[in-house]
Amino acid sequence: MTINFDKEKQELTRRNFVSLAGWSFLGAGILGSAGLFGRFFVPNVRYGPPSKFSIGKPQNYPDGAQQTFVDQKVSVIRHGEKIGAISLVCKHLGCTVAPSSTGYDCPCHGSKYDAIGQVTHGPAQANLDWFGVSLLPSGDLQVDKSEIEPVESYYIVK
Amino acid sequence: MSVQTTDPKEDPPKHEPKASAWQRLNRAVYRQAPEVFDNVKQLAYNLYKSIFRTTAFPKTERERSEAFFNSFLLHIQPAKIDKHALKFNYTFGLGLISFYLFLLLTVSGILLMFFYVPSVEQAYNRMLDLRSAVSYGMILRGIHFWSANCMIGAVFFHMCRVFYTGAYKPPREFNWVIGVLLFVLTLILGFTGYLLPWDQLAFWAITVGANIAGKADYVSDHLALIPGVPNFHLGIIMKNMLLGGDTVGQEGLIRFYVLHVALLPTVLFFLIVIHFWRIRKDGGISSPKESPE
Repeated sequence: MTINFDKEKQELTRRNFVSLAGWSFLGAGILGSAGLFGRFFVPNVRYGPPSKFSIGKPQNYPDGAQQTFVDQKVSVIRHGEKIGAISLVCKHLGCTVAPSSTGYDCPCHGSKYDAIGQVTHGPAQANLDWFGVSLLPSGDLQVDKSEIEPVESYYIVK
Repeated sequence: MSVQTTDPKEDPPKHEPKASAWQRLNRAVYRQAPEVFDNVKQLAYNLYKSIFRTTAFPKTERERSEAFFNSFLLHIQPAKIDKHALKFNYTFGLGLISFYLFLLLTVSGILLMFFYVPSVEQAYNRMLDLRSAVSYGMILRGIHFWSANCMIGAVFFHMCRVFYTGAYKPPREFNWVIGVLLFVLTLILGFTGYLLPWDQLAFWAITVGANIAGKADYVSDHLALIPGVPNFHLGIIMKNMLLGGDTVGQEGLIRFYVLHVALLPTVLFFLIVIHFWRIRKDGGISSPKESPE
């Protein structure tokens, strides 16, 4: 393959070779730096609400209670001694589901979930996430949204 | 040691080393369509020619000229130029240095815009995050800061060079005027950019600057001497127009931000284009031959 595409002068002199090699090294260096610079666009810090948040004392939630934390997109439910935290982010394409008489309905594409977040109607294919609930030393309950758990992963109030 | 028992001439003809898959594919393609190779070569040639038009290695005077006016980046330069114009210590390259700094400022500024938020609640924290949390954020901020300072210096020294070589004289007098506008725009860009970090230095610098504008009542004071003209404070009007209020706040920040990232750079860019175009139209850079001793 000839690097010089000039049809009349199909020759690669030493001078041209050295020139091309130099420019190639420079170009490779610039492209490499530009590639490494992609790291700039990776978000190193997040500005959203923290993934761990307190939801208050267990006695604030009577049996059968269902309370929505809008900012955190979490629904806290209590059945007897069991307290659970259900994500309100639809597993289809991420809209926020709304509590309804049958459980949770998604306003975007009509997905439906039952009262414990199991999918009952598409297009969603998966159940709503449940989040880990733990007791803080202060006696408050804490929901950790980075701790994703299967359906009916309750915290048992002692 | 093995002993050769038979005459090598009587060996069955040795096979060529087995062709690689790539070579076999090439042969297969060539058997089917020999013109494919020529077409691919022609395509590469056409592609190169469609982009570059001229040879990569100009040898004759004509080819060297063509390389200049067929290249977008080089066509700004004249194909022929006086020898004195290439002497470094005639221009010190200050005009192009200013231009390159402007390009650097544009690129680094656009990148900084990815993380900066022009709000009084967030601006300062975003600036701190750029320094500490964003990858390459500190070097970008440094590039933007130092390029801005150097650009003001470069433009100023460019102006000095133009003055001392008499390049402001006819027929280049209008280009001098554009150059003065470019210098003022550079200063205003520096001033507007100074507020954006939203720290104490920025806040009080802009407070002082806006109040200096607020004191400039000379014109309105003298207009008020004319009978029938109402007494008004031009300075206060200018200050309020600049800040969008009485003090430096959210209104002022967003005004300075829009001026700094959108309006002023656009105006500056078009003036630079006219500035460059006028250099060629006014007969290239000035020459000692033009002024009789």
